[in-house]
Amino acid sequence: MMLSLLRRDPLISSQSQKLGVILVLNALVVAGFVTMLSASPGTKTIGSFARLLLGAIPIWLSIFPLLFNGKVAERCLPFDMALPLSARRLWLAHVAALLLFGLALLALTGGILHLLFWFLNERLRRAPVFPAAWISLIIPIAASYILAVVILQGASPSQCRIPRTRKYIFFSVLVVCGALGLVLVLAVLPGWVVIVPLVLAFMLARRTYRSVPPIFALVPFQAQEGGPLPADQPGAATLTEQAADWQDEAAARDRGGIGFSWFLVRLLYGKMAMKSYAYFFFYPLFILLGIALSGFMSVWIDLELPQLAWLFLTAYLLLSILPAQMAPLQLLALLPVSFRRLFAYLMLPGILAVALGYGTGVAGKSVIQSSRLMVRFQKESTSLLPTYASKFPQVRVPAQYFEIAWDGRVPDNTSPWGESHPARLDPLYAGSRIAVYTPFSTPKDSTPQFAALQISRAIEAVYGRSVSYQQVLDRYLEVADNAGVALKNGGTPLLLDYPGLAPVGEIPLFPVIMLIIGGTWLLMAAIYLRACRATVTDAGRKVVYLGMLAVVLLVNIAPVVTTITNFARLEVVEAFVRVLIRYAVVALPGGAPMLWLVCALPLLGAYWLAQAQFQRIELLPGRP
Amino acid sequence: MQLHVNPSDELPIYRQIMRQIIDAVAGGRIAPGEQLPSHRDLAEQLVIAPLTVKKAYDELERQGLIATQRGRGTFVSAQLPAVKPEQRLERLRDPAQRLLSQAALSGVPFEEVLDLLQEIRKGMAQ
Amino acid sequence: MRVLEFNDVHRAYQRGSEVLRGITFSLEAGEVVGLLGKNGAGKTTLIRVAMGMIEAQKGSAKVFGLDPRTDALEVKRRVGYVSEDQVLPEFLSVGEVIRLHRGLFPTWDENLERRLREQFALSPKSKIKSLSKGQARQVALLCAVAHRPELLLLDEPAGGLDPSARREFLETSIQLLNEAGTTILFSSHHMTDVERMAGRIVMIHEGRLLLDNTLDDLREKYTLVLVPSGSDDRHARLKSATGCLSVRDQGEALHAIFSMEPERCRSVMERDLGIPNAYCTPIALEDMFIELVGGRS
Repeated sequence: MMLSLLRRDPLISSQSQKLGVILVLNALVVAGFVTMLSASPGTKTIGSFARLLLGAIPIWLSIFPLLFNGKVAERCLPFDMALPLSARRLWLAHVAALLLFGLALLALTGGILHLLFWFLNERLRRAPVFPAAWISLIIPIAASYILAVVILQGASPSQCRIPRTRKYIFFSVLVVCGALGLVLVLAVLPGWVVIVPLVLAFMLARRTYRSVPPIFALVPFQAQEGGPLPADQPGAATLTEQAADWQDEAAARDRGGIGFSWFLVRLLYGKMAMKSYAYFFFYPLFILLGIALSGFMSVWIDLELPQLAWLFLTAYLLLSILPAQMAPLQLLALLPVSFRRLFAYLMLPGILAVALGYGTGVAGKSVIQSSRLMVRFQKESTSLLPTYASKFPQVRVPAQYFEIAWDGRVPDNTSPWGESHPARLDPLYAGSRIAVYTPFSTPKDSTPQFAALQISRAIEAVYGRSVSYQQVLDRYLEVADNAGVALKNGGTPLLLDYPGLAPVGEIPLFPVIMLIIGGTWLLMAAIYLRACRATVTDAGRKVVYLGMLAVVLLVNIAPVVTTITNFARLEVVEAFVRVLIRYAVVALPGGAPMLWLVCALPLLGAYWLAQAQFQRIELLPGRP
Repeated sequence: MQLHVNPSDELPIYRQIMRQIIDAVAGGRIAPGEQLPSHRDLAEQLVIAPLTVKKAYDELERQGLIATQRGRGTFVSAQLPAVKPEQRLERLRDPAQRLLSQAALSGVPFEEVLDLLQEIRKGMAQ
Repeated sequence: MRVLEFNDVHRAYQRGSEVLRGITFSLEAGEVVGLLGKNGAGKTTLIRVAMGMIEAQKGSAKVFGLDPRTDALEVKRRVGYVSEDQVLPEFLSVGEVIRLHRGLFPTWDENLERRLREQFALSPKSKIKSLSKGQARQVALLCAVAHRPELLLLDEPAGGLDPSARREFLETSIQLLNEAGTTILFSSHHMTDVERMAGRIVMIHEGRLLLDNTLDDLREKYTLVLVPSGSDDRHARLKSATGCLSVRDQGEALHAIFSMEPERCRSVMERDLGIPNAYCTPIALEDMFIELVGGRS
């Protein structure tokens, strides 16, 4: 009996067709993300709390946004209220459905991750950083999810449908963010503390259960008979009141110079899209992704995070809001709005948010970079290449200052006094002849003078300033007794000696990134829009959409897999791309602006293609 | 003068209007020279397409029963057109046929039909 | 000038089953045409093709001589559209919907808008989702006519409305006809509404044009013939006679439609086909519809 109630719960029945897909997609995204983080060697250096945060957030992201789905507020179908069932039982069934759904998602994600780490540990003998810590996150996440669900379902216990007012949405956001905080707190405290939120949840549930009346009400209860009717019920206003309302409306229309375009945008993104609060979630996310893409995080927390690996994830997320954005078009397609305008309003804000984030990140990066020396000399890797830890310090620089050896052979690094050492090569992929190498390497048997020479070469390459190696040796290197060599204070004296030092050779990564993200996303959008014709069934359109998502996800996960299996390390590939861009800027006539043009043209072509498909869509009523 | 149309009647709407106007003129409910509602007003009143009313008026005008004066309106002709003698009788044949068929079916004898006709004529004259 | 023109329009949603199989007819300025047909016959698809919502796969549709897909902006500015399955966004208020339309149509007539608003007693703050079906349809009608369109496309505009709401809709349409001589193409299942408004009838069956006549012609020049069933081959004889549109066997009698006046029909029955006791009568629109497209054939 309870089972059939669960099956018919609005959330389960609306999501059940996509259930399998959602679970698998979610689990894969989380697994990929977490593994990517754990595979990055730099994560060893961050504090355990930061590591916890980085692990908790993706998993939290995979189940908590569920709580914003509209069906969560529908406790039962109005049809069920005609059945001889008490409202309390219906309430219980709904809460049980929510818990089951979320916990199943969590369990599946955990299972996939467990398998993944087992695979890595047993088969490949690589030990990712997170496993034990991560698995122990599941319990706190489950407990805070349970508490969050009970809290949210405690609202309006007498209603069949919780009224989704602004207040309730805000409250949901608070609870969900608070749940993340709770997860972190529980993860840090000893294990038995998890009982506390569970007990709280139980008590709260019992209280709510008791306050559910025998029968749900479909509409808010009118406090007293003959009291004033709510304002938007028809017949409530008299004619004079209506006339006054229209006067106000006319005045509002003429006031304040708010253009019609702004009104249209507000409608498109606000009222018409009311059902999907996705916008409040996704647009900040796009900005964050833009920041991540700019490399700001790597510089700020001094941690090697893959930068280019976010590209396809961003394209995936941009695509995922497209179907929801199409909803207002059912009305607008009938009206004389230019399709070019509509297309621009729909498509541009997302990519502009990413660009905005990128710009902000770059600005932030330059602020931080001016206070740190971009040339390091250390054993451990942080945010600069090469990323392997070595027994002896290496000169570490930003990725674009490396070089590419197309045939796998590279000249030795030489010095004026005849000392020379071979450079270290990192092949692009296992067995490839193409390799990335640094001309500033300092192998084991190099002398401190050689190290100073390499550092001065690096400074010249990065900052364009010529600092003689003698000066480096005398002023900035400290040589310890046991022949350990290090830069004094991380290189700060050099910064003080040369104020206003700024990196040269910054590569225009932005146009390339925008081309890859925008090009991918616009091509996928063109394919999806091509499927928005009356000749394609809803099922067919879903297949196309999910198929593209699956491809993007696979492309997203591919770098993780190749890095873990040591086939093609992500940081080497990223370095390769950046060096290529540097070479391109030098080789192209017109330099950097030419690169912008070369990247802009295909992007405009993709936009034009998607727009052409948009012009030919056929939206029929009732279809998304 | 109140007109009424039945859209589902076997007679086209414009003919119903024509007939009712003709009946009204014949029965003296509208005097010659009196103004008729404009075809737009009549369309709104009867909730039918204006073109239909226009068709009725055009046909009546063609028969000379009404006349439209630009800027002033539509009026019943001051002088009704002369009808050819042969036509006069011919026009009555169909209604007479129907009347007598109905009487035969209802079993009303011919004399009673004549009495009925007398009675109606008396009513019209008043 | 041809306001609306369909020229051999074909359209299929799935491979192999065409919804429109070569429809050809046109509307001149000022005409009011009723589009009749069973559910699924293709009326909605045809109107959608005219609106540019879907493409004609073969053949063409022209509105004011323009292609409704490539010149969508120009066409939509001059066309008003009301449909039973129209989607007005639920969370907008009446005032916002009207404001949206007002801003998009350069020929918006504020006086007409005000008049209709007062006539329908609309309040700007009511949300669409709290309106009754009739009121929502009124909002749609207001938005469709207040910009004084040259062509109105109505797809079962009175569907699901109570009789008084339907009557109001008719009255508003007639006012519009009176004031502006708008061309109207509307599809409806309410035969009385069609008989009141339409000057011409176009009947579609299984994607093909079955009839294209004025209403008066249908009344005067078509006949319903009722013939008692006999043991001879009268069904076949009727069917093959010139001017016969359809023959249906209704058990005790055969129903046939002929495109000639009742008197001539009577004489044809007697003399040419040798069926003496045939009952020939003018036919009402609803019966015509049922005979031609409805029931068991």
